[in-house]
Amino acid sequence: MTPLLEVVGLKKHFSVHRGMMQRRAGSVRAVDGVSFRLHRGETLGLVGESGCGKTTVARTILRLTEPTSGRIVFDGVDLAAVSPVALRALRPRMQMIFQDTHSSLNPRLNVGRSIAEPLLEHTSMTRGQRRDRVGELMSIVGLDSKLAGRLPHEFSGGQRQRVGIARALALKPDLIICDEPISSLDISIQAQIVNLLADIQEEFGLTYLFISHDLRMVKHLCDRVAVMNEGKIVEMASARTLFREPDHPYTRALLSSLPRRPGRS
Amino acid sequence: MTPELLDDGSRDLLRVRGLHTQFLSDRGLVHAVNDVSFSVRRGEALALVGESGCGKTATMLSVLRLLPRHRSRVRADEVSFKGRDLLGLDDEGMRRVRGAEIGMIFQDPRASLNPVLTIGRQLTESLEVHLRLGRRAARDRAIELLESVGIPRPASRFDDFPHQFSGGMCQRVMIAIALSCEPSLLIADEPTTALDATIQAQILDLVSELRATREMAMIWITHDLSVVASLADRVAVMYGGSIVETAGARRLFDAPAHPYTQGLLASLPALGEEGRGRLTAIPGQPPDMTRLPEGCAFAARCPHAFDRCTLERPPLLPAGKGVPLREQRAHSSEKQAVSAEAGARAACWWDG
Repeated sequence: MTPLLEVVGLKKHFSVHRGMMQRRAGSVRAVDGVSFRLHRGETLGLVGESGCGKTTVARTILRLTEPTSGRIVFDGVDLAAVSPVALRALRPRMQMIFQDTHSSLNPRLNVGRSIAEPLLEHTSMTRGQRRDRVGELMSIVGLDSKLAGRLPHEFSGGQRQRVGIARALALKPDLIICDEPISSLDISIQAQIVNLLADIQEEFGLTYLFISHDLRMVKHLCDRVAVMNEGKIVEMASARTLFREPDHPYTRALLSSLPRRPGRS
Repeated sequence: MTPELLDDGSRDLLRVRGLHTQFLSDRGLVHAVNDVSFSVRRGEALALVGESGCGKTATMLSVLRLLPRHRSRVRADEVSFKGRDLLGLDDEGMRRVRGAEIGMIFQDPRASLNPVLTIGRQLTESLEVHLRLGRRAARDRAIELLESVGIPRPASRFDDFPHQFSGGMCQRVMIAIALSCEPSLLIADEPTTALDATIQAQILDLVSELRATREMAMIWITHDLSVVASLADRVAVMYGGSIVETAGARRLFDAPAHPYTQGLLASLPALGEEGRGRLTAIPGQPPDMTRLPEGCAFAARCPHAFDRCTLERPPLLPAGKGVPLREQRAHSSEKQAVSAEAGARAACWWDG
């Protein structure tokens, strides 16, 4: 079976400019030859410390950032070789959930409108159809559809993340990239959102790339885990194997930094 | 009235009784701290745990008198440090306590350091002001301090600016500044939250080591229960502006008494557990601090809430008299001994 997503030799180098003439002074290898496959229905965790390149990997997959080199093949289609029109047709199938629910929702749009935006952009639904779909999406993520007319600031962080998830689901995607989706939420809310992500994955057969520095949640949610350090994947294994027998010294350092208690371990 | 958290007054370094703090926000009057009492003994590490907006930072800022006066109202029956009344001190007296006797570190080390002064200058400043050291002596002492917090080649980093340091190194510098006057109490507000996991572990090790060698007391404010476990002697859990449970760190994790603490611990994914399953999430969301309910702030999310919980706010009662009564009936003598020893208390009406 072909993987849903295949990333081969992905590189993203940012050039660094210095001085008044902005002369090119070198480059930062944010992503330096990353390869992995993501199968349908699977959750791959991408872990590493800030600056290791994990968010850049996500952004290049969605073509929010142009890769320097390497191939990204989504459902058999090489995204670099495809025409802009065909790329636009593929976009609805790849969505992202962001860390910061303050900046990822337009503060001036009511949440119903925010959820409906992708429908407006990518479908020919009528106003009534969109309203029904928004109501349906809100109930999927556990929000009362009566709240569709409210603005984001009237919601708590957890509720705003539910709005973000509803919007990501609007176009029935295959792949959702979750970039630190719970790290800005209150601790008593994190488990709710993690459960919601697991529920919708099962219900809609979603594939996740789950970017996080929370190793506990990664172990809980992911089938396989890729550990990144300085732009490279230094280890990739099943979640169970990785946590039981970490191989790479960096992975061991990362795992040993995890306090043992609390939690039944 | 909330019962005293600690029996014997003489060993208390910091004692806070009946603290209430309110401040004005765009959304109305925030009841940030509601009748909070606690104390810290010499050399003790107390963790103040809770999620954002629960009042843990407001509690410490009230004690240190760092809240903007025109927008906040702080009152308390007692805030005393080494037996001195902090509420009665004038601004100059309070400044002398902060920095010289109580060290502070905050979440974002870069925001707390002055970007246009060298690391060395920021360290020697407090040494010259508080310890009245001369330039030379202050410089030598500062380099020693940088070395003690694990900054490599401290003498050569002395004239560097904050932007030349990584986040973890900046936090080490902040710790060095906080420790510079050998305070008897260190207050740390989420000092490792902005740092990467491996750096966080280094900072925690460093603080534990320094605490052991200096017999310094500490209040560690955090939302991260896993940090608490490795660091604190005693834990106070805050919710909705009140302390809802306080216990020895071990006991808190082994036998949490308040339904909120129980819920938090149950919602964490276990590390060793095989298979996924669902997490046991706490339903609902934290209360709006501008409109706190009459009764227990957790009642709306609590699986055990009954009539009284929504009508009357429960005081901190010895755990065992409150929550785990059902278990206690089964083997009463044993449980009582544990709770008496650890001084565990929970603010909860539920008794099984």
